Amino acid sequence: MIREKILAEVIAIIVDLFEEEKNLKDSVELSTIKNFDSLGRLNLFMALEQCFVIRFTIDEILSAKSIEDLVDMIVLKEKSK
Amino acid sequence: MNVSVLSNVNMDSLKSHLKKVGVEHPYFCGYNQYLIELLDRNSFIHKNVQEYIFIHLDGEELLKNQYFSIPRKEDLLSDLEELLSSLRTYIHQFPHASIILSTIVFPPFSFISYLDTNSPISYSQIEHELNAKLDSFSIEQTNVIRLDFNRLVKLYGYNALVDDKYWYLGRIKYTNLAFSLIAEELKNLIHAFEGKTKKVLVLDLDNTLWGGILGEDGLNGINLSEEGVGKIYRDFQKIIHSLKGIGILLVINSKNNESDVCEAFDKIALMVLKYDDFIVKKINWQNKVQNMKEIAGELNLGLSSFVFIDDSPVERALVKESLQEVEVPEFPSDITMLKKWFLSEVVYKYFGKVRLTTEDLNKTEQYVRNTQRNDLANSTLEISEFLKTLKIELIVSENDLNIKARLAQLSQKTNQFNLTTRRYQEVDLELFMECGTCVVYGLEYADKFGNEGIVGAAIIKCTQQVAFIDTFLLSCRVLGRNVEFSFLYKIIQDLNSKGITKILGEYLATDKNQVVKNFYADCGLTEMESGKMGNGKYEGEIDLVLNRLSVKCRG
Repeated sequence: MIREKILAEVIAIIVDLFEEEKNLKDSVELSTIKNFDSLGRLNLFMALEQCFVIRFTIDEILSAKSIEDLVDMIVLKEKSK
Repeated sequence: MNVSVLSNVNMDSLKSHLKKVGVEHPYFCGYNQYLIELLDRNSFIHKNVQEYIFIHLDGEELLKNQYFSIPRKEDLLSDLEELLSSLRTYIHQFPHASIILSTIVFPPFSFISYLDTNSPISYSQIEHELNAKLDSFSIEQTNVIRLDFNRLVKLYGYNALVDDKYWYLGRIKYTNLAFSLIAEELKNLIHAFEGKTKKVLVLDLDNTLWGGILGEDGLNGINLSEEGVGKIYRDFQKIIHSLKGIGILLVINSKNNESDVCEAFDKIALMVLKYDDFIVKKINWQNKVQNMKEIAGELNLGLSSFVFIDDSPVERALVKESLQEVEVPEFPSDITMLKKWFLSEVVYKYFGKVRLTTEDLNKTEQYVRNTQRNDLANSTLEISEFLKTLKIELIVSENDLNIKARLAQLSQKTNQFNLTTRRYQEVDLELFMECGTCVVYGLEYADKFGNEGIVGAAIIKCTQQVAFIDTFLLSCRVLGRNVEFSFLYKIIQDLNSKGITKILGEYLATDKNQVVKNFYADCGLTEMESGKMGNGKYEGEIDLVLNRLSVKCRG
């Protein structure tokens, strides 16, 4: 899956989950997203795992800081499929 | 819909999934605080009116350290009894809350390995006993229903629904898939509980009810057998036949020659369904949308009660676009999926049932008799003459707890002849029947064609010498036979004998109950106040109402 498509899907999931209305780009820090908290982080990773049929490690879940980090991780996992 | 979620694990992730199925602001109790929530008089569910309380207990968390040692059944049953006892107290205090109890599912693996099924030390046995205890509790309490989480685990697999990673990170036990399935199941279950499920299954024939195209392949080309692909269709017919047995009305909407179809039903020995199993048959070459509208007219039911099954994507699209009220599920492209798809995607979603009434079991026969009555009406010139030939018998019951399930079903489902459309559950009716100042009347109908069962309900609230008609409704099956006037007449007579002198009535307009807009005026009550949207408040002296109704009944 190409990076742009992954980015679009990740943003769609974030918008759906957090009802974020601002224009999201890959540079956006996760902590600045509306309603984002520690539970929201877990919910986000759960939704990403289901959408892309991948599995994140605990380190990956805890270390991701931005949308770009998420997309990078997914791109890597998609390549190794 | 107002839902609270109580659990021994973190269920907050369910929130976004519940929103997708129409539950806007669910409440979640704190992690593992479900007992405190139930017992504490200052907790959210004590301070706020609850419609539904969903209690989900995770099996492994319920076991606690017993998952890592030989399990002690008595301790676990005693823990569960503590919950049930708290629930009994809560239900006693808040009888209007409906409780949804999830089945308990233990992990399918443990350190005792094969001992589980080969020795008295068994997690599976304990799991079974805990769930049996919950089953008994839900039978004992009318407003407690079960959500079968175990069914979802069987369907999708334990590993797809349970993930320890999020448990160690945030006490979340389930996957995103599990939460979406639980939310969907909750929605469908509540619909079934409230009687909002569909009534009519409309079926295509060729490549839907049997393999092959009758008009092209002929009788011998029809695939219906006990082997191979033909068995798929035969099994499908068996399920549909069983649905008819629990009150689902079957209808054919097919492009075919009617005589060919009759011959197929008559001559194909392995046909499970019979021609007469279908309450209406639209077998012709006209547009299926037009057929659908005619079926709705003949059954006197709204299109929103219909589910349409057709293998043709073109026909499905046409019906879907033209009649948005009709549910048109996708048909499986792989026909071997037919049985599994129909049961899991159609039956649970559209035809789910939580309780079964006598009326459900006789539904098709009741509609057949209605068709016979309509035929008689059409052949009779005078309506009064027609009604006399019917030999109608009405039995009015008073505060009869034995029929509360049927009265609740009528209250939940009746839209047209319903003056106030107030929806009541069994527990509400029980309270009305036992409060001492209310009278709940039920109406049983029979005529020369047969017994229709309980078709009407009325709830009267009395204050000294004044009676307020809170609810007055009649199933659309018996409309047009002046039954409504006779029912009210009998009620008013009874109230008269109880010393009531004045009757108050109310009409609350909805999109569907325009047919009863002038009912109280026709019965001799005077409109005292007309509100917004056509609502009205009525009153009448009991003698005047009785006189008017006796004239109406004679007419």
